[in-house]
Amino acid sequence: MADIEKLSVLPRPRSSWQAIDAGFSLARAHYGSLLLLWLGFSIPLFALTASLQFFLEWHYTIFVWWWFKPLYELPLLFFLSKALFSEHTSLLQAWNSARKKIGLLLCTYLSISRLSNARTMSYGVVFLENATFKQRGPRMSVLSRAKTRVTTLLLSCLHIEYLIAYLAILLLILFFPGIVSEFDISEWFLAGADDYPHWLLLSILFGTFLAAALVAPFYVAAGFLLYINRRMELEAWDIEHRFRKIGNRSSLTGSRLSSTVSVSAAIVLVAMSCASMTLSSSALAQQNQNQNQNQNRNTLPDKNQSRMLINEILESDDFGGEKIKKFPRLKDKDDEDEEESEQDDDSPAFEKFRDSIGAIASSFKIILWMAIIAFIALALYTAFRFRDVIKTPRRSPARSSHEDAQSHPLTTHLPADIAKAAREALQNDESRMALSLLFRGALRSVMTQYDMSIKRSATEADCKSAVSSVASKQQKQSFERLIKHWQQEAYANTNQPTDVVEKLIEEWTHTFSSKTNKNSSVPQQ
Amino acid sequence: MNEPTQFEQAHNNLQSLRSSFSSVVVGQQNTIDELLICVVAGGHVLIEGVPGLAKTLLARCLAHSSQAEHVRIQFTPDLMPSDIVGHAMFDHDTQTFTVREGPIFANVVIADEINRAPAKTQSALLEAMQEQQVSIEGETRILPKLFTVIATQNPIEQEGTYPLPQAQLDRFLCKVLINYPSKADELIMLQSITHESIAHQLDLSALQAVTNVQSMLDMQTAASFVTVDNAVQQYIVDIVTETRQWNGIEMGAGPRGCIALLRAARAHALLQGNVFTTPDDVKAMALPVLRHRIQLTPDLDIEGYSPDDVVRDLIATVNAPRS
Repeated sequence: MADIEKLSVLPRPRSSWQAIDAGFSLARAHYGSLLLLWLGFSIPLFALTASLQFFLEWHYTIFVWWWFKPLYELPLLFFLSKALFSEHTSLLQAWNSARKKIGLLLCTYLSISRLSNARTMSYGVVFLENATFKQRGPRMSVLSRAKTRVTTLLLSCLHIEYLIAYLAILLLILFFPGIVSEFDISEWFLAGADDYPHWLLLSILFGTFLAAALVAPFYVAAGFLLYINRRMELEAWDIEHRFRKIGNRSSLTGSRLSSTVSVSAAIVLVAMSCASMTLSSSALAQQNQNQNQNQNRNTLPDKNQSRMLINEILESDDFGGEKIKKFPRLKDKDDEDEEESEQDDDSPAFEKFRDSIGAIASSFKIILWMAIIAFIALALYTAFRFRDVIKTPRRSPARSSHEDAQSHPLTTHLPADIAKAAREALQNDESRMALSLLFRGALRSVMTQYDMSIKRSATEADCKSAVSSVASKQQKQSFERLIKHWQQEAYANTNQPTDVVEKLIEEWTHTFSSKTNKNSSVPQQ
Repeated sequence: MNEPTQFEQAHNNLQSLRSSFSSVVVGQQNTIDELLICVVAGGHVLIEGVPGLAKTLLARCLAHSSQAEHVRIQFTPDLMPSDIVGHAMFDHDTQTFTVREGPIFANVVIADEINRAPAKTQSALLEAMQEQQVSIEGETRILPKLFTVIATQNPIEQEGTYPLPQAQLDRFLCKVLINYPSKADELIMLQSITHESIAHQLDLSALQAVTNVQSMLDMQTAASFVTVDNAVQQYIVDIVTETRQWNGIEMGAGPRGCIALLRAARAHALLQGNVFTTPDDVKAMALPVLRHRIQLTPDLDIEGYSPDDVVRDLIATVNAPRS
């Protein structure tokens, strides 16, 4: 329990605006220390992030520095938490306290809660109350139940910060017109960041830093006072404070009175808590008035008098009164049943309207079901219609495989002795067959000798090209001659002279015979 | 046409024509060959390529080199069929309707950017390309000999274009693709075009008339006499029928594809100086002849396969003639 007697801010019910104002007052009172505390962490980080400019774009460095803002604000919180209760804390102690909480800070405000708008208000819950992770949520929801204006505070401070930053940059421009003469100010917002001159980037960095430094003490203090204000309201610090004062005054007059007042104050405090802490300032005024009267009479109230005093307070308007508050909540089943029963008692016109709506809904329901059935039927029909396409895997337009001498249709099923078979064909006036045997035999010979493969669809030009790439010069020339005569015979329908064919057989024997694969023995037509 | 001298003359004329192109068009030899083969085969050509690759220049070169009467029609979205084939008009002097022939009555018709015109106008060429005649007001008029349509088009992905209907595409013997030139060719072109030249006009002064319409007709005749063996014919049929069974092809080539491939293979053989056609001639002309006659299945289309990829794969599976 905080020692509320030492509060430097008068504990009394305040609106959020008043709490923010009180925070600003607190910040003004300790501005120098707060500023130094903020600079203590922010300057090293600023220097570090500024050096990152060598690796990152300038706006990234600003972003990194901006992300660590909660780290700079944490020492301020510890300082303010002591200063609020009129305790002196050195800057070193505040920094040390903050340093010990860096781990917790990393898990909260430097990561998942960095973008929280209620950051400064919730600092107290995390770092002063030391609430666990599970406790934070309910605690914050209790604190945030009233209008705390933290978002307004955030936006206001943000705008002021930006204003100061821009003013700082403009101030630089005003004081150093020579530097900025080359830069058209109107281009500031139009030009891309990459086009900014160096001095402008530096001034933006400087202005951002300066603005954040100037605003941070106010922002942290205001947030902290918002937190304290909610605690004052929830825990009735103001009432306790009043009674403590009464008790202190009474202790000056005697221990009897002191004990009596202490007892009565404790009772009242419990009663106050039970009554949802709704004591207003008027009650306090009444209470003060009674106390003053007692003091003026300068009489020592006995036990009965104390009881009367308590009863008097309890019977005042602020106690025993009823206050109705409405909260939205989700409907449960009982409520729906209740509504249905209420609807049963509706007027006939409403019933008619409800019936017609129900009929339309039923119609739509039927239409919807029909549409679903039609869709399924259409899908089935489409699948049936294109069943062949679906079943048959699409033939991939892959390239046909190459084949070697043992498998290629051109070179299989050739006689063992090609030259002999060619001569026999020539003797039977089948010069086309003779040339075909020589052509395919030569191809098989080269394919076998050089372990070459060709496509099934290879034409004469393809074969010639393939042979040329691997065969000897003599083989190449011989094969070309062979192809030329083969084409004349096969495609020009020109019978080649017998002597030419015989010469080709001789040439073939010398060039390809020894290399021919003799495994095949079945002659082809 | 069995005289070897006539065949040799046709081959030489074709080679001269081929060489004359090189004085104006830098690189693009394959495109030039396919264009010439198509013309010699008596077909119409569709040249496709992005703007600025000398599509129109190629067509104009052909017309100049062959001294053919040529006309260029710039296809636009508002072009009407009668603007191409002609129309009947009332003659006040004679008080009768007279037919005014359209620009299609020429030897070489350059249909520039044909896919900029809607299908209605494109279809005006159907009868002319197939029958070599046009019907105006019920009267049939025969087109001049060596009637050749050389159409250019930009890829259909580009804005403001209308894809040609399949029936129209089928009329073109070949679809010739023109690609970007190589670095070396582009440098030569840059130097030659800009040297002592104003703007970027197409200078055809270096182009010589190496042949004439009659010679072109002789070439067509010579090509038609190139021998085609049964095995080669069977090979052609195998390839074309395979396009109808190939799983990645939605619609294969029709019989006109068979005929076109045979004619193109013959012309290719003539260009090579052969009096007979080999499977290699067929293979060489399969791509330009078939690429616009097949329609890929949507899944292949989506996967990014082009008709050329599919035709190449298809040819690789068809056994070449043997024995």
